[in-house]
Amino acid sequence: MNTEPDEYYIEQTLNGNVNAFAFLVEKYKHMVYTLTIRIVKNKEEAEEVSQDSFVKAFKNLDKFKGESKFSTWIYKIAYYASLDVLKKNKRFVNSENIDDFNEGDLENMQDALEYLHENERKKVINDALLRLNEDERIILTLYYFEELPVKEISKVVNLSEDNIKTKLFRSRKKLTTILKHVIEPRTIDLR
Amino acid sequence: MKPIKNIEEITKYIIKEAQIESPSEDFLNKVMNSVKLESKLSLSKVYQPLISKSAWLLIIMVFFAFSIFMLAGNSENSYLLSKLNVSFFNKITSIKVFENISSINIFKNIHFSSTFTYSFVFFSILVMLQLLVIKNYFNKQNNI
Repeated sequence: MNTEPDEYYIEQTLNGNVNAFAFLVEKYKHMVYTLTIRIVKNKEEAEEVSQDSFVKAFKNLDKFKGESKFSTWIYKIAYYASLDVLKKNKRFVNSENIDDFNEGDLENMQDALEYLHENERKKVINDALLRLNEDERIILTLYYFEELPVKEISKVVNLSEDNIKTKLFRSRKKLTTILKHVIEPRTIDLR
Repeated sequence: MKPIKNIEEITKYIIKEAQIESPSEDFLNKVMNSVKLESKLSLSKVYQPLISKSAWLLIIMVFFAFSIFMLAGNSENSYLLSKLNVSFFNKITSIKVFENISSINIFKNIHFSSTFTYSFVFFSILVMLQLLVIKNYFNKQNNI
């Protein structure tokens, strides 16, 4: 549908063609919504925050200098808007302190996950993700799903690249450990 | 211990399996409605100055003309006029009616006490400051 680069639509929007902005919304709505829902954990709120993020981006489009990608910029707006919602509702949840990192039987994990029905697999993984810190969830999503380079992620969450790498390392272990604890009893039940 | 590469792969698999979430069907419409409303608002926010540039030019011209006229009227031999040697003004001031007008000093009998003058100046400055503060306040509100 839209083969032009983001810059084309940005320029069109700035020149008064408001409808050009729709292409950008269409392109990034899924990722923006995914990021917000992984922070605010509520469909209605996530939808509202995502909408507000796009409107805010539109209002400030003339201030977007193009130093980073448009995607990085919109993700950053969505990330901070979501954190604001958490702050307002004082809903920061301390993530679990998982110390018993054990990478022993990773190979069984994939098998166990594959054994689950697609919807259940998605739910199990999302539940596990929600037990991580807000920033860990976002960093993992941006790095492994969106495949953004560490440099761009550091711009979104405003942390140093080294810090991102450390968080990636820790959250990988945390996530697999949580999943292992969740899956093991299930697979035993299935047998 | 498995190599780290393995945990990378499994994490990638997990995150991809978590899939992406989709907002409601009319998400795009809702955003675009807000965006269009916002662009209309921003258009209407372009304030027209109360006094246009041409009006300011006219005011300045009238002001200068008037002040020169007053100067010329007050003293026919004024330094400025003798330098400028504006024959037009000399002609005007030579007309009796204008001479009479210029000799009337309407402020002659009005005297202000120094206390009044100082307080007037002081309050004028305060009013100007308030204007600046209020203007800034509204500018900030509009920018949010």
